[in-house]
Amino acid sequence: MQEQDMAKHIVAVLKRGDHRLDQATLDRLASARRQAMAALPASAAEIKLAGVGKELATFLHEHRIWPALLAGAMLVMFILMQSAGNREPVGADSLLLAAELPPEAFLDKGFDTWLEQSAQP
Amino acid sequence: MATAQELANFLAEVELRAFRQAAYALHDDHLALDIVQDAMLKLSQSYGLRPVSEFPMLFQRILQNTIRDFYRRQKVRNTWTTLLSAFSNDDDDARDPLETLAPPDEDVSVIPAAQLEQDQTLAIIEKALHSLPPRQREAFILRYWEDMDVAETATIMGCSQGSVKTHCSRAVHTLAEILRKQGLTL
Repeated sequence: MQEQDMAKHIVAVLKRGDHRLDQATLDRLASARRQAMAALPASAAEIKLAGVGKELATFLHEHRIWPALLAGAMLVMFILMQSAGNREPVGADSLLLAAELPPEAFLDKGFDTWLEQSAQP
Repeated sequence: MATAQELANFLAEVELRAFRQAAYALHDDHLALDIVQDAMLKLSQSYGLRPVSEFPMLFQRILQNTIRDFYRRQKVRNTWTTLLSAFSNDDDDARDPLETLAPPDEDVSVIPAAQLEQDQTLAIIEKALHSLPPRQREAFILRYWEDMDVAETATIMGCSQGSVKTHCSRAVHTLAEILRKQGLTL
């Protein structure tokens, strides 16, 4: 018997087995079908959006990108917080530049002492 | 674009075959029902509004991928189970999974002889199908049961058309050999 004929005979016998499925299985399949129909999106746009979201989530999951993304986000937050913490008062630079004294005077340790002494009557 | 009714009709038409296909692959009816439900949901959610003509290919691809995903998860689970069971006794290693299948519960005495013979033939073929390697079984079912051509089968299975032909040929020869040994002539 030819290969194709043999396959067709086997499949013909297999197809006869459909009627042997019990009622519980048939009910469960009908229920699965109803659930699938209930999940049918209303429009093509909805499908496309769901598809894009799912693709992205799958890509991130499959390539194990979630931990890297999380670490990146934490690093960015850390840098932002650091830069916010180091920010100096807005007018500090302009006050220094506009003062009559040179900026070095404020760094001189003896300047304060001299200022106090010279301020005394 | 398909209507909801057309999708419902397609699912109703394909559900029995899909269930039996999954049951042959997984050797477990409950798991097979879960897999079919999953595949139906995925088809409806992601491709429910595609043209009706695309449904068979899409559904088969989803079904096969869902079955493969299950195998992969099971493989990981089995690795852990094997590792953990190394610390316990392994008396049931030689157990054949087919032995756990429940025996048919109908009373054979009330079934007419012809029907009984058909059922016995079917049981032998189903058991033979169970025993095929997964890829051979997949190719055989898609090609001959789902009536897909070689190119469609290759697309669904993600392999070359040559591989499909090889898988199908080996499957048919193996099945024929098993049936011959059982004394079955079709």
